Amino acid sequence: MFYPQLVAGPIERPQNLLHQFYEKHYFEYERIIEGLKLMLWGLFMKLVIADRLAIYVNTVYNHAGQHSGKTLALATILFAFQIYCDFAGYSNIAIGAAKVMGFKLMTNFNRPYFSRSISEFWKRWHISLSTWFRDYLYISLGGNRVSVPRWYVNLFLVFTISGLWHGANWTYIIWGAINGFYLVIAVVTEKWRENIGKFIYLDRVPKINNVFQILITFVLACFAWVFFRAESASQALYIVKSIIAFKGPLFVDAPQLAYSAFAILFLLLIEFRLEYRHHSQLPFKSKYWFVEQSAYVFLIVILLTTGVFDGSQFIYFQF
Amino acid sequence: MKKRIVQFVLFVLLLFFADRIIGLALKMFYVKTNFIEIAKTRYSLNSTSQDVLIFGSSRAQHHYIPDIIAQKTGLSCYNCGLGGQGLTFSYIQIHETLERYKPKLIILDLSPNLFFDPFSDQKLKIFLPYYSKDTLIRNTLTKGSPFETYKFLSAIYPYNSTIYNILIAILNNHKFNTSGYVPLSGTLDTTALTQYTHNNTQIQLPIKDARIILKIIAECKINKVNLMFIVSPAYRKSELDYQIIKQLATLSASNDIPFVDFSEIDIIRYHKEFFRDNLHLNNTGAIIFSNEIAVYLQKAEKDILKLPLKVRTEIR
Repeated sequence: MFYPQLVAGPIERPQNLLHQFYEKHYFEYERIIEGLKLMLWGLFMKLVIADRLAIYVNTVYNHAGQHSGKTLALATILFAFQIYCDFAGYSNIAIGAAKVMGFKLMTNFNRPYFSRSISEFWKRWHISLSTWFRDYLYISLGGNRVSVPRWYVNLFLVFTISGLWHGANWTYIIWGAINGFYLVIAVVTEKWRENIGKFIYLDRVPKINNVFQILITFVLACFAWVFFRAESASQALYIVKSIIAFKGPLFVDAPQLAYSAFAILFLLLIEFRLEYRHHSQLPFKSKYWFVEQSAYVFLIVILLTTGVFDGSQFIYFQF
Repeated sequence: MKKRIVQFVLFVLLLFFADRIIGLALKMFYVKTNFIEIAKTRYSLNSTSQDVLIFGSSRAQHHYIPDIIAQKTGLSCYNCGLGGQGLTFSYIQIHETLERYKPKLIILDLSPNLFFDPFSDQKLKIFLPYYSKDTLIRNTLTKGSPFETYKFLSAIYPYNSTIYNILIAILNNHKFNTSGYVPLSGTLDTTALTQYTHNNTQIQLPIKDARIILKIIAECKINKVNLMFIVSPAYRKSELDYQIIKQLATLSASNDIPFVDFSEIDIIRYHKEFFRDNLHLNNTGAIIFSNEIAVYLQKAEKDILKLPLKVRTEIR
């Protein structure tokens, strides 16, 4: 049993992993330090961001009927970051732990909220699962090498089944189906969207266009997350209706929201830098040793100052 | 290889000094801050010297006005109640108090909702800075996790999640609350109240909480300090409330502790203008209730404040 990825992935392929068990692994200082740094970043994502956001999200979602549309909308956005940091945090810890021992596991998350389309989102989110479904289900069904209507069915079916993989609950199935629906619509409307983009001159302002696409993709993902987080389909529908009505006062738990805002801002700054400058999985990289080490010390200080140490479970341990 | 060892040692030293310096800075701010939760906990553990001390959760904090009690009884009074906290918090406060001095009377406000909070243990993190103060606090904090002891190697960890409160107190120039009472404003909206339905479910006082109550009783008896339990007013009680109050009364009587149920006193009952919400009085309601408590203590003084303890179990 290879413990780092045993409980919640990344879901490795035998051709990638098995041969590593028969190879000799040597002590390599840089590799071990990188592995430890990745574990630290994963711990930060879990304790400082995910568990902090969970306090507000759980308070709201566990009593959804008592909260306004504005509060439910905010809680949904926070949940989007909570589930990302919880799962990606665990993946980073697993990958980092494996790296320390000399094993290479696949990347499982690649900054998914910088995606400009749902299709891109699924190339960046839970990569090990989505590629598994692509290789073993989507391609087996014929992929896109079938008639166009059959292709749409394949897309929809694969994502609905991936929802079922998460649990035997209608909420997960609907979540999967919604993502399948997004992909089908994206394919069907591709040309129209291109033409609309040209019509309103969005193609001439690529940076604004990127931001617009990233925001739209994030909103679509958040809508689907409502069903993933809700306890039942009826609760999810109630939440969606409340969010659309957008009435009532915002529930303000000032300390938790302040810590949450800081955590999300910190995450976005790091990931923005990684996405557009350094293209790495490690949060800090500098040619100056002292600067880089100080950055990791700063990370540990933030973790001790604002991390949530109540021993909460990882969300994906249940799947 | 030598270079790597030097780099590793330098990193550890950098981390150590950052931890110590920032930990020290946080400690300096923490001991001086007047943010209500922090200041009250600090004061109740280290500095109280009043004759009458009131303990409990938010219902204690928002219901008992020490100045009124002091004026009518001639006894100094402080409200140690803190919102969101449970019985274990009160027990630790009482234990630490009795380590320092013996007040004339300890009042513990026992609300039924104290007993079913699944997050009460997590809220005990408020005692993190006092980890090294006392075995009871140390054991309480390390009970849930074998790794907790190692986290205290860090000078920062005891001040985990306090930085926001410290900053807010500085920015808003919080002053120290000398009585411990925090008034609530607003009036109850009865249309939003849950309608309780009667059922035959038997609800038991959790054993863990019953044990804590017995520990509080034992500590007060060993230290020969008068203790009484009070249930303060609620606008509307549920079946759970009635059952729990009855069990608390039985527990108190069997241990010779005065128990007085003020939850349905006529002067406050059904007056929504005295309530902020179903469980909490607003300032007007607290004034009326505190006067009732003060009058009760005046009349019962001979019984309550002299030894041996006189048993009185009253449903008012």
